[in-house]
Amino acid sequence: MTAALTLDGVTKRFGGLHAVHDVSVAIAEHEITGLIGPNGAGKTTLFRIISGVTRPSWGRVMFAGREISGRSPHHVCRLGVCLTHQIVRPFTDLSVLENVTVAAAFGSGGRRRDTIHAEAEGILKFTGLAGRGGAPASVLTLAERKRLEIARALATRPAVLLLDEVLAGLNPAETEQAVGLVREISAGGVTILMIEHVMRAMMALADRVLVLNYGRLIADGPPAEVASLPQVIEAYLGQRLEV
Amino acid sequence: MFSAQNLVSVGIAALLTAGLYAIMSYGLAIIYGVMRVINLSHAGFLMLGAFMTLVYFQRWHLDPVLGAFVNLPLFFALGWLLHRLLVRRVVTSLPVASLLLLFGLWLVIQNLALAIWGGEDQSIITAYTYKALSLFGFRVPVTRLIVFAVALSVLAVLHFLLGHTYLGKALRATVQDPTAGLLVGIDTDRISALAFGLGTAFAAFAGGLLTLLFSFNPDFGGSFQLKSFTIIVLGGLENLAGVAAGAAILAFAESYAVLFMRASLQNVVAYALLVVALIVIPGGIGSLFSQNRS
Amino acid sequence: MLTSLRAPLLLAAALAAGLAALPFLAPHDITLLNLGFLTFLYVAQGVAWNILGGFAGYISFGYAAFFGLGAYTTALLWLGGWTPALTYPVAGLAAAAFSLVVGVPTLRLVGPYFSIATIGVGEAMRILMLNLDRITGGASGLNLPTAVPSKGWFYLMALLFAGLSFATAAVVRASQFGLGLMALRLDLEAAEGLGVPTALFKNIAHALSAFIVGACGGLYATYLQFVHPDTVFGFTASISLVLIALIGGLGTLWGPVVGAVIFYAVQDYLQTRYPTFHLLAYGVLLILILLFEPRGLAGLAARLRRTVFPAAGPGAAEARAGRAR
Repeated sequence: MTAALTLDGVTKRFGGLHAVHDVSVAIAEHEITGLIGPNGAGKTTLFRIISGVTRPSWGRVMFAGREISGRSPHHVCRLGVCLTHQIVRPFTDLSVLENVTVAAAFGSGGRRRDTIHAEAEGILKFTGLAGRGGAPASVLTLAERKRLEIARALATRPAVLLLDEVLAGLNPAETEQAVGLVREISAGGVTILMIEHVMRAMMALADRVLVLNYGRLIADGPPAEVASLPQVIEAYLGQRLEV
Repeated sequence: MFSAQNLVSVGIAALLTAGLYAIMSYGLAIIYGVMRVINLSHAGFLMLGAFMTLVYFQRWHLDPVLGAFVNLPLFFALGWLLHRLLVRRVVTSLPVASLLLLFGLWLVIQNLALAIWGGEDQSIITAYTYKALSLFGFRVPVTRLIVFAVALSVLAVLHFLLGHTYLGKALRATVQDPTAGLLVGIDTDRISALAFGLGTAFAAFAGGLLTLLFSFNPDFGGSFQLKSFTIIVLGGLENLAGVAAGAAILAFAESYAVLFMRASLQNVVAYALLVVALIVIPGGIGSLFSQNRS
Repeated sequence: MLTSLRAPLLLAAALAAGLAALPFLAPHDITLLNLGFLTFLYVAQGVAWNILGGFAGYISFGYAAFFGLGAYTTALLWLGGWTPALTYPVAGLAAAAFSLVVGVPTLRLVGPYFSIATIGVGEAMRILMLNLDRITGGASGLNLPTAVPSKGWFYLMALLFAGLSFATAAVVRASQFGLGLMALRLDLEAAEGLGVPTALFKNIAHALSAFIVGACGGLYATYLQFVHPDTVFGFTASISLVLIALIGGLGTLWGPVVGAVIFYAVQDYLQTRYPTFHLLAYGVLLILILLFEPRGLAGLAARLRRTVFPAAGPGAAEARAGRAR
């Protein structure tokens, strides 16, 4: 397995609290890796460290053989690692197409002006937003906003896509569509690391699942296996009661 | 110049100034803490408070200290009114909207004062303006002592009220966490109006006290406002007592700095501290209150 | 990237050509030439300020620092024997350099805190300049040489500055740089995460606008033949630019142009009739704008267009539906 992303002893302290504690793992290329864990386990913090928004207190993040920890987010994005936000953040004053255009223009190294527009349109089509290009981002439904969030990230031509709870708040039909989209993105060769709470979808999508609890990595393996590990169950449900 | 006696004398002056600075910044701190708004009309109310105190003195021979107290209810009402009419209605499409609105208010206040009282320097001379007391061998102007004593007592009363009344606790709660405040049933609109009223009242109160120490004109207030902001940035806002800490830091820094440089450059100390504090204090104090509190 | 470049440039060029005829048609109408000079100078500065204030969304109350630095740079070089016209680019560069020194640390601050910091910097500069009296002449100011070109020359130079400033803003707006500025104004963290080098762009916008304002300062010093810290470094110089952009429409291309004309007209009118009321007028104007139409005249114009042509505009129907939601 070639590693797309390598985390080496990544630790983040906020005062006395270890939000992320000594996480070392290699994320395989072209796979879908799930990241689960109870609330407050440090998953989003880990994403923020990888994407450059937060600096790790210790440890390194390596991508394509280079260290990216400590680089500014825009640099990390241009190198090929892009993050979508848990709470979606569209540019509300811009149209859907314009939103994607921003990402296409800045995302991955220099691109010729004339191709940016075409690329943006292509991505809208891919993510199912083709008819909504001219609409202001502010009028989109939640499901559409999530797709816009993904579309923008895709426009930066990422090698690694970090999806933060992209299925949250969607109804069953929308969830199915989103799952299909994630599969298609993966099929296109993008490495996906996704935080999810919607377990069924996660188990169906992921090739491998990592479990975080209190900032530590407590499990790592295929979904079915991980789901039945005692420490994982304990993390979510608490200790077994001896009755 | 650096004799022990001189240093102590400067120290005493700094301490007395700190008291004034604390009460002067209090109004700004309340408004900023509760509403997350930078009140650029603070300077205007400092100045109006000074001028109103002048009016009471000229018309009814009211001592400036008493005049300052008279300002409290008067300007509280004014502040409350302004909040209902103006501040509450600002569309938050622009992040700096309320800042600019209050700035506009400052311009209006300045001009009104100019129109009513003209642009010349005014001062209030009382029977004790030029008197000084001997304290541990140092001559201290009576006016400075009075201002310090009044400021300290008022701050003490405020501290008590904040800790022991419902409104006081509601205010502190909103400063610490507005969302949580909403969740426990605090009416943030009323609290904001209260905060704005109090902020205005204390600005005018401080303005009244300032007349004992300085002469003033309609342009007066700008530098005090910036110093007030420096103080609240330095002192932090976890509890309103941070204002006292910030006031002390600024007062001492300013007072001792004059030993090394021209007096006319004194205000630069405050401005430099402001900019440095904004940058150095964890990501600027603004980051403590930005959208994502991680 | 999202707006056209040719249309505004052509319109501006036509307007400028028309205005440029004046000194040749009425070479002795000093009042009109002075009016033009001061208005064009405000246009140039307002448009420049808007690049950082409107496009990027960082409202600075401290541009007098750049105006003043430019003015004094020209003043000192002129006294040292330079031809005034050659000093203007240097004045601009001095201002731009200073903007980087101040901007790199302060532009990291969130909006309102940046604004407060700029007030502090602006005022600090004024006091410092007042005290560096051996260089700046301190409170008595600096008297400058009396050999100056004609009023017509000043008129045309100011018009040129205004034109260049406008062209710069138009090019920025239509470029990828401008797109990046707009994105970072709308959501800084999201823009950064999508590859926009936000810190770099903010500082470029700052330096670019500071350069223009600095050059304007130099031109003004030549015109006045006198510099004094309270005039060129004064707070009024700073807030004028804020007002100009707000009146006309923050972030729009033509907004500051219209705003400058109105601002100067109001100032001139008030100075002759009611000299003590200009602060009141600005304050009231500011309050009204912020309460009712934060987008200034451009916003009013847009509203008017929507009531007259309700169906027009892409996404207009959707936008209304969205707002009603």
